[in-house]
Amino acid sequence: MVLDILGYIFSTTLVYSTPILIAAIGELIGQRSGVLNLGIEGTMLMGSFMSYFASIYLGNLYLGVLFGIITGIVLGLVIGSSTILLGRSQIVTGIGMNMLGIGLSSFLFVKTITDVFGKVPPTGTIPTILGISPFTFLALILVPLVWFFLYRTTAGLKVRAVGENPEAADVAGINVFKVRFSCLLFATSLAGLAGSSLAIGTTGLFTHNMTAARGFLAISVVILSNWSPIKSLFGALLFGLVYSIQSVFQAYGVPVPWQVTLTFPYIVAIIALLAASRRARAPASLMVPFLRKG
Amino acid sequence: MKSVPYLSWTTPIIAMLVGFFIGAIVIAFSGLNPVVAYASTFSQFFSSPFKIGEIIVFAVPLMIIGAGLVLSFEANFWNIGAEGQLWVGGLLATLIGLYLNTSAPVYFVTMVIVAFLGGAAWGLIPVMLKIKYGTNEILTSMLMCPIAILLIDALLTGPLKDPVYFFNQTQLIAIESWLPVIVPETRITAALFLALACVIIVHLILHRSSLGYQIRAVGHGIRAARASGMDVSRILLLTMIISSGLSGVAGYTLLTSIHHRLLRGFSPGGGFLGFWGYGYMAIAVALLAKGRPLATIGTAAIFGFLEASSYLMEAAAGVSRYIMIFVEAVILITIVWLYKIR
Repeated sequence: MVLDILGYIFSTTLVYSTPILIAAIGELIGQRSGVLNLGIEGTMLMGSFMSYFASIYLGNLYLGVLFGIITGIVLGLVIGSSTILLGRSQIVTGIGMNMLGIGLSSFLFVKTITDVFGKVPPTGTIPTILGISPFTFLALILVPLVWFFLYRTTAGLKVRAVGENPEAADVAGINVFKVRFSCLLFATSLAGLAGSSLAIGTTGLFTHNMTAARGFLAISVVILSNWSPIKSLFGALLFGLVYSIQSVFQAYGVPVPWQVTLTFPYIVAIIALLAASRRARAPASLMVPFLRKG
Repeated sequence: MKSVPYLSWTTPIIAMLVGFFIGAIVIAFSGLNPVVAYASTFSQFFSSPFKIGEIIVFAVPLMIIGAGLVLSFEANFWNIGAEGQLWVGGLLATLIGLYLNTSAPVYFVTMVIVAFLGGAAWGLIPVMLKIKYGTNEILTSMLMCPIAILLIDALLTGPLKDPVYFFNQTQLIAIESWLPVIVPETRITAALFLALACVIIVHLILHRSSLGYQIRAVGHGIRAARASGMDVSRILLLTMIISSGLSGVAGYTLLTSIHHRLLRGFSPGGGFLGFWGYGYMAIAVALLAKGRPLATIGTAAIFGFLEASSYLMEAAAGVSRYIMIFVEAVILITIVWLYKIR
């Protein structure tokens, strides 16, 4: 029994951590350039819905993934126009995008199931390779790639320069708007992809507010890992472990109300943020809009 | 939030038109006729005083929470956990209504105080973490919402559940604790007076007291405020106690005016178990008010209208009421685009 449970936890932790890791890696690049995408939750949720929706209507899961990414890019354009081009509050824009994600995904979901199917049709999931979802492979490959990009390439240096001191980067001839917008679009497209991995990577279903704060958990991972791609892998695994333990509670009928087990990831997130807050050092210009004075 | 030039009254109207227009595109995309949907919805408001009254019924809690949030946003403290604070306030008020046996005035006073303290206690956690450890309050206050609502839901399906009914709800609270209806044939209760009083109190605190001056100073810049000798921690703490306490009071008004019991879906959108409801709508209400507590009366009325419409639209035109969450989001984003909010 104990070995069973340990084996179960071992095999599911990676599965549960995949969407959070993908979203966190994207968010990390965005934040390194100075853009905090608080709308990540809504972006993930819309990516999740659109990939589910496209998979049903187009009958192809890979097109579903593509739609998840495209959704991320489209929402990224809206967010970036507000926060980067117009210099509006990243917090308020993010709050608006999260509202938009909940409202639009639930509206379209209700419409889809009531009109066309009368029930929630499963889409199936992307076939696994050696028992592991391609989303997980992708997430694991992204970690070293993003590390290499940030610390070993000129473009990565530019991103970090823009995040620390956009005025100096601007004087040095770096196009701050272009760098920030590219990083934000990378972040939101990965948020959309993370949504896909949740809907058609593991369950083959969509439900109302399916992401359930995983976007906020991804932001927490970025803070916990102190904006380091390698450490963010461990941050995501922590939450994967918590989700796995939560499912053990439910699967093995541990006599705790299911609502209580659902709070585990949020409680762990708050405790982890608390533990990390003393040494957390955010990019200096995070959330500070750059508007060239001219 | 930095003080900014006052919004003119036309801006919310432009934003509403944009919201309804984009909402119409989505409704059309989903295969329904938006003109018919809107027309059949808005004409409903003229069919009975009850339906017009619903605008105010929805606006009351939004006004109370919104005024409180204006205060914390002015201090540049991003309390986005009002939903959880509302539920905790509602829970404590319910316990008084269920287990205390007393007269109407005593119910009123104890329930309001207890709801305020409950909301404040829940809001104390993110602000203490911020003051003591610098923990990001946006994430902590938000994550406190699903924690509160899920734990309360566990009580509703367990110890507090009304044994008679299938639904996850408590028994009715004592009838003496209900707030009286003040407009016949509607659900508008004396909670409206309480809401207006809260808004005016917040206005007086923010614009007529030294605490309000300090709150705005902290909002402009913590370092400058600290350099001029202000106790920033104490100011943030007080701000958050008032802000989250008012969210708790909104829970009291929902309990004693509308539901008369605690139940799943207590705050609309409770189906998302902690991710939607008055507490989230009120963020938009407060942001639209842009640092003026009195303006929350107007912005809460706008959102009350949208929420009342959402139920009518679902009943009259078969358009899922979630469309209104989308319209509200578009309104907020449009306002952000048109006018600089910080």
